[in-house]
Amino acid sequence: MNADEKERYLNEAMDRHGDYLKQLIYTYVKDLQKTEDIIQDVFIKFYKSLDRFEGRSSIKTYLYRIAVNECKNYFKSWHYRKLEIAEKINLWKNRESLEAEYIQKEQNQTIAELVNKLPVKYREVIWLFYYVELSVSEIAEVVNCSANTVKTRLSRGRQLARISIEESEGVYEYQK
Amino acid sequence: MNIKNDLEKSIPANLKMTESEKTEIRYRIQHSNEPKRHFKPAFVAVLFVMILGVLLLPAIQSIRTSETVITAAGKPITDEQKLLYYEKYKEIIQQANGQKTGVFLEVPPMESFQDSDWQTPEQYQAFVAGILEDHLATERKKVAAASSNLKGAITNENGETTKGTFIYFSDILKEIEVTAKFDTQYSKEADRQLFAGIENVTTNLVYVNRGTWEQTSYKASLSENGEKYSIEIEGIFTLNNISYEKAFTLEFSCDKAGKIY
Repeated sequence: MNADEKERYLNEAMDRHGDYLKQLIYTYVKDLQKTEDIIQDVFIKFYKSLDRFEGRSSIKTYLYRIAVNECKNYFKSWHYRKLEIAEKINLWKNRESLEAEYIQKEQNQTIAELVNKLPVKYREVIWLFYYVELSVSEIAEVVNCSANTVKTRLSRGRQLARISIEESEGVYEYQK
Repeated sequence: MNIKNDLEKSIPANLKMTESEKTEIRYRIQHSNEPKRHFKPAFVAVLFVMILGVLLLPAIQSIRTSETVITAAGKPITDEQKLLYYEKYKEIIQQANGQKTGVFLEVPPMESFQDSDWQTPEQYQAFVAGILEDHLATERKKVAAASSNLKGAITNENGETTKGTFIYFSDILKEIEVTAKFDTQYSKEADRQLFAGIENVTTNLVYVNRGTWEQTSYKASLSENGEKYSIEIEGIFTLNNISYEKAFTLEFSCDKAGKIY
């Protein structure tokens, strides 16, 4: 691929996917400055790897995959990892209902607030499916797992966020 | 309303790629591709460093054999150093935990540390202070944002005044009401009513179907020449067999006429 072609791909990628990518990155890192740093790194990596892009996936999923990996690399960095902040917990935890911690809500919490409190693996598939509107197979490519795993995580994520979906009508009912 | 719209509302408005960001990306790509043309100055600089290195080599070697160099994060350190650092990290965390009731910081197990994770104790201390401040700032922000929905203080016929606030646990905001009986008295000096006493401070959750709250203690302090009571309350919130210790403070003020708010 010559420089002109790569530049064309880059410009098209930034115009078409830049906004959604930036928003998705924000849902991972929740910091505007870091989001801006990462989105730049994503497109630079994208550009530099275009020669190796063999067209096995679409440009869209390829880009999103780079973005998700960059976010996860950030999670592994010193600046993000090392301290666990927790409220003082009296250790009578029922281990089976650990995930139930995420279902402690006040009555007026929105779907988004519930989703954004989910563990990353559930949160990311919900965002990729409902917001970015990727298909299950595309999400599987982006997060590097099987389609069945994506479906399981979507189902579990919806359950944790108390979403029940009327798929045919495209509306949802929020369980209070 | 659909899920997509709801999700969209949870991220900052107008979070889009700007033209200047795109320009910056193109600039960085272009400059990472540009050939290096400045050979002569670079060559001279490298030659100078080599000569300097050769002249200084004996001195450098004698320094390195006599002490262990402690380097910044990312550079390997000795196992002994790691043990020392880890003990220091634990001390730093212990001090930080003492700063606020209900916040519990924990250093992960030593075996989970990668080489790049090791920081000097001073750097670690600054990092912990930043984390704690972020957490407390998040708490303040969330409580402040939710507090705009609160009703003002109400005094009933028994002279008890109730006022609401929010308490924050990890991602949970609970509305809680504090009730107390206040005495006020006219002060000739100040020519106004001032607080003269307080008793029977109780607290209750507003929504009782999700979790329980048990007050364990309170401490009331008068300030502003008797115009304000700060009540610091401690208690335990329990939900789904998980308990959280919590301390929070609520202020009650008294106006000139003795009305409490």
